Amino acid sequence: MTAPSPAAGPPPVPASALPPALEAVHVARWYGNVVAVNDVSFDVGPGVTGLLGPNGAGKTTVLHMLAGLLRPSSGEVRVEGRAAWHNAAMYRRIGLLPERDTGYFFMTGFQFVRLSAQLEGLGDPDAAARRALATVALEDAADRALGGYSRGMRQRARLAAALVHDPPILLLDEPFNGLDPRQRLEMTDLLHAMAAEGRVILFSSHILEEVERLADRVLVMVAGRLAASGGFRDIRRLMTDRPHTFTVRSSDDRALAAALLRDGLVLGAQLDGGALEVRAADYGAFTRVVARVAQATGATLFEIRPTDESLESVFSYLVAQ
Amino acid sequence: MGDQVVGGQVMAGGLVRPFGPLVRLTARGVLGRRRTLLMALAAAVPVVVSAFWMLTGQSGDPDVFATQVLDPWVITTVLPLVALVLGTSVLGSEIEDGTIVFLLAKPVPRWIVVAAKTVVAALASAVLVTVSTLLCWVVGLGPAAASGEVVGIAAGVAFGAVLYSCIAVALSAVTGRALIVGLVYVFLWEGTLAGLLAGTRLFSVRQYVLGIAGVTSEIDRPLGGTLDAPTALLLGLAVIAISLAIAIVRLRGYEVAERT
Repeated sequence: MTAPSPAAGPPPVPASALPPALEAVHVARWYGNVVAVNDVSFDVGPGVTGLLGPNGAGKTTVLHMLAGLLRPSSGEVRVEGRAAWHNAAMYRRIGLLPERDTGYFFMTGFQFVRLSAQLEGLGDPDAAARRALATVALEDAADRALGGYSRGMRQRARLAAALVHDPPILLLDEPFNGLDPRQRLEMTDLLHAMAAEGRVILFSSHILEEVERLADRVLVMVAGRLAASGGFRDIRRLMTDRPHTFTVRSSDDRALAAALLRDGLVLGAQLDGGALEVRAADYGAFTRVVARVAQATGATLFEIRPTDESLESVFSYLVAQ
Repeated sequence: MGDQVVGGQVMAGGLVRPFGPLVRLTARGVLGRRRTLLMALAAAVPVVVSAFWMLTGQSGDPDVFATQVLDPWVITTVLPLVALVLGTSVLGSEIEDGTIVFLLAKPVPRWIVVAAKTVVAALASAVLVTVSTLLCWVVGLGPAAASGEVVGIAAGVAFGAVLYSCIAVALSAVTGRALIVGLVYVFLWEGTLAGLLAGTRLFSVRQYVLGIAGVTSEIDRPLGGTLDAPTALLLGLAVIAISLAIAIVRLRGYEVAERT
């Protein structure tokens, strides 16, 4: 995949004079009695921003509100300073990649992307479609029907359709879905390159490593709320510095537990069914010295396993902060 | 409107420029599907009945044929069925499978989307039922088919197809059970209530069809038709306008349903 050529836009305006590209102000969205998004505020500027959270966190709802496809129940969602809802003109400025694996499967990839160009009102839809397909490295399959594509190929065709009008803002809902490892790397490179051109890219993911690879800034959503936002390193540190629980199996769990407690390496220890469960205050310090402590006590380590590394538990911790 | 450059891309002028691509997209999406083939087969059933009518030596009187074959098989059954099925599929299937998001996230006015969808459904339905009507007439009446009565009947049926299609598009923008609601309207409102309550006939597509058919034939009165052609035409145009307005307003306020 290669980045599209830079757009020759209007003369630059000082960044400080412009409203944020994407903005949510105390936004909530509910469906009947179910609150999907609750009092979320953020703004997004140029570069790659990751919208991270477990399934059901409200990421798609936020993206749909930003894309003008959902009306906020309260609060305001703005794109370049204008309300996103009922703002058809903004679709010349944004490209949307929905999560759902759907499309006009009877069309070829080229026809699908060209249709997107035609609906954007581009003067030369054929050339724009070919350019967009080249951007996502799909030229060779351009004349095959979407129905015969793999899921990853369809994802790339839909990305090409979202890119065909060269939009300065991209909203991508789980863009890595269905991509194989090589395609993930290519997608990452492509998005990096597009961000380097000054585009605003907001993408959702429930996979920490994807966000780590790609995003300069992270918005963490949990249960409809914005749990944390900031640079990825700050968020990562918050996640790493929290108390961690480990299951430890050794030849002498009792002696090992006593030594760990004595040295202050763990906040608590519990012997449970032939294994030792400890709660470490500092992830890094514990993993660095636990082997040495075991050696000093004469215990042989068989296993050390973190027991609460699921994203849900990490996110729950962030919410509690 | 001339072309302009936006963000480095040349934008083609013309508000309705996406209309053609949307019509082609809808036509390919609908005409290539199994349901259209099934509707074509449904439209062929009255022709088979007409052949049976002729082979069994039934009356060659065009009015008798129209009231005993065309009305029950085409006007009452195939016409609403075909138009409602095709009309609810053009927009409803896109809402159902989520492809509507692809169209709504484009700078295309909603009325163009509705117009393109409706044109395809109305044309496809009108062609199917009009061809069915004409074939029935020729097959069922043989030499007597030369009478000009069929012109008004065919025009009425085509007009009815357009009306049912518009109603179906509007229903599919309002509810996910558009076909069921449409069929209930046809068989409960038009089939039952219109026979009991004279006032309901003013709001019956069937009455508009009979009103137009009555221009060249005598079938409207025996079948309970109460409207003259100009009134039927006027009311039918009002139905088209109201249906399109409902569909456009609903699509303008359409919200995607998914939630994660």
